[in-house]
Amino acid sequence: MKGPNASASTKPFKRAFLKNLLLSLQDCSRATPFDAMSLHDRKRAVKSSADVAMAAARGGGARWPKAILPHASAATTACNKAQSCRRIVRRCFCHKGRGARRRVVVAATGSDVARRLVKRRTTALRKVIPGGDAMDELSLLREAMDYVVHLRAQVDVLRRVSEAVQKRSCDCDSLRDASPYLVQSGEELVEHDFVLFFESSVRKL
Amino acid sequence: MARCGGDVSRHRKADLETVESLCQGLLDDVMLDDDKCRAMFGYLQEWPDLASMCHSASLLGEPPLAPEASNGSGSSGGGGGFRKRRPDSCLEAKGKSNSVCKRPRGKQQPCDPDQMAAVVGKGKTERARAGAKKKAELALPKDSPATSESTVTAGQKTDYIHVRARRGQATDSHSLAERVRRERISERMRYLQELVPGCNKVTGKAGMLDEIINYVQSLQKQVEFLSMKIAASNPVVNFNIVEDLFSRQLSQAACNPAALAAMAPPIGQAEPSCLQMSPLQQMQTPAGCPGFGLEMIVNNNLFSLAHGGSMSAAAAASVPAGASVESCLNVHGAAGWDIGSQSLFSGFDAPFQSVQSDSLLDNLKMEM
Repeated sequence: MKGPNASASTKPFKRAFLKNLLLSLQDCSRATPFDAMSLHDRKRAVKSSADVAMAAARGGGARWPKAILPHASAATTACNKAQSCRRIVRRCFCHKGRGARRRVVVAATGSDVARRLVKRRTTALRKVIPGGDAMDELSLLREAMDYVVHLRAQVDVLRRVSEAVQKRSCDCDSLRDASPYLVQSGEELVEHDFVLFFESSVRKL
Repeated sequence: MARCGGDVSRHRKADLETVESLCQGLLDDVMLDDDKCRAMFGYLQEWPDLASMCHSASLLGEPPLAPEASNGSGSSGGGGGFRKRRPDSCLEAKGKSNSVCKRPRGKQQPCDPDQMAAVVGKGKTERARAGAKKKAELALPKDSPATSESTVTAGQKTDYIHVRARRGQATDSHSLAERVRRERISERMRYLQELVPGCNKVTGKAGMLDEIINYVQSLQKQVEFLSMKIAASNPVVNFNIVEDLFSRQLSQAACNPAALAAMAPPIGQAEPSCLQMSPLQQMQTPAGCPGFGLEMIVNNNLFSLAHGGSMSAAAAASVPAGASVESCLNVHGAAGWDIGSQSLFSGFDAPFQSVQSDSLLDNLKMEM
């Protein structure tokens, strides 16, 4: 079912994600300059801005972005909360009942084992997918599909950005090695280079 | 489950009309897959895209499949499975022992009853609450005529889901709702199977869920690793420049012929980006002949820049560097973006007007 235009269909999302990523990194760097932060903090800033950018770029078509973005609209959070509360209560109920039953049943049939395995994996999937706790199995699978596609696009864009950034840093380093006098003007050229490379790699998206 | 071929062929034409209605009905489960991402990403275009895909799938004219064939195709890639599913589900509508009709969603039910039953069978009572909505809908249309398959408009939760119980299966409303739920889950598991690489070899719900979880976790780890990589070289990058580039609204007027004339004479490799963009600009204007000569120069410039051998010449041209940097960016941006559009990234869609620009871009990509 994967057609040849599989990558083309995620293009608008990738573009929106890239734009959001750059803007959020910009804001991060304005708040605390990157030079002042430690590597770990920087990595955390980049990762959180990437996640937020992905959720913002996804929009309202799925539930996992709302789990990532804390500042959803008041109306939606109200009804979402009601729904999620209902589901969580239901799930607690189910868990309680199943626990009691398990104590009674001694022999583990094949179907029981299979069911238990699936149940365990479903809970694991809930932990992995953002906002998965408040969903039933059907919508969990749908959210998982959505999340996988967008996560793949995010990884793709981040890879391109890291390539561009690394190339730029390599150029800067080689520039410094070449001659100290040329560093100033050369860096501007390297910026151009970086921008061009960035552009070209984004066009390849 | 025996089916007469003659019966099948007679009803098939009528069924093909219902295929579209079935697809229409499926649209409330918006399936996400790479090739259907266009449906997901354009929110407003969501439904028509899937509808057109279903329509084309139905028009492929799949012959009525025996259950054995559908068995084999059950776990294969969903493309074929999806195609074959549509007519077969219509065919299965013929098996009737109940007045309640439901929209048959998947034909895989006879193929893997043990698999599904083992997994989901006893969880009925717990899931019954989740399917309570469906049951309420089921109870009401019991009086409707038996043979009709009504079209359910997509996206309306209050509409009834009409399901036809297959021959030899329980006609209880509970089991019907349960079966519909199981079919939906298995359908989504199939889509996920295509999405996640390496899932084709695994059969069974638990294994597939395992693969999906591993895949999502590996993707998340990749994001962490890449963000670490970006952060490692971060002090070097000045994101301001990139942001300025993207946020600036550039018009073609900024790339005036004066700037071009200033750039054209110096073969200096100091401003390769400007030189690169000027041929593009000229190509975009109707009279674009002077651009060809510049293109060759630009290619050479790009080559030399990429090899880092042009740094000595850079010093000479560094004098107007400040102003020309701006103009370069302007030029670059204007040529790179759709001139008339105001949005940020629309330029990425705008195809360059001439073939030379494509070759130039290829050159650029080759360099980098």
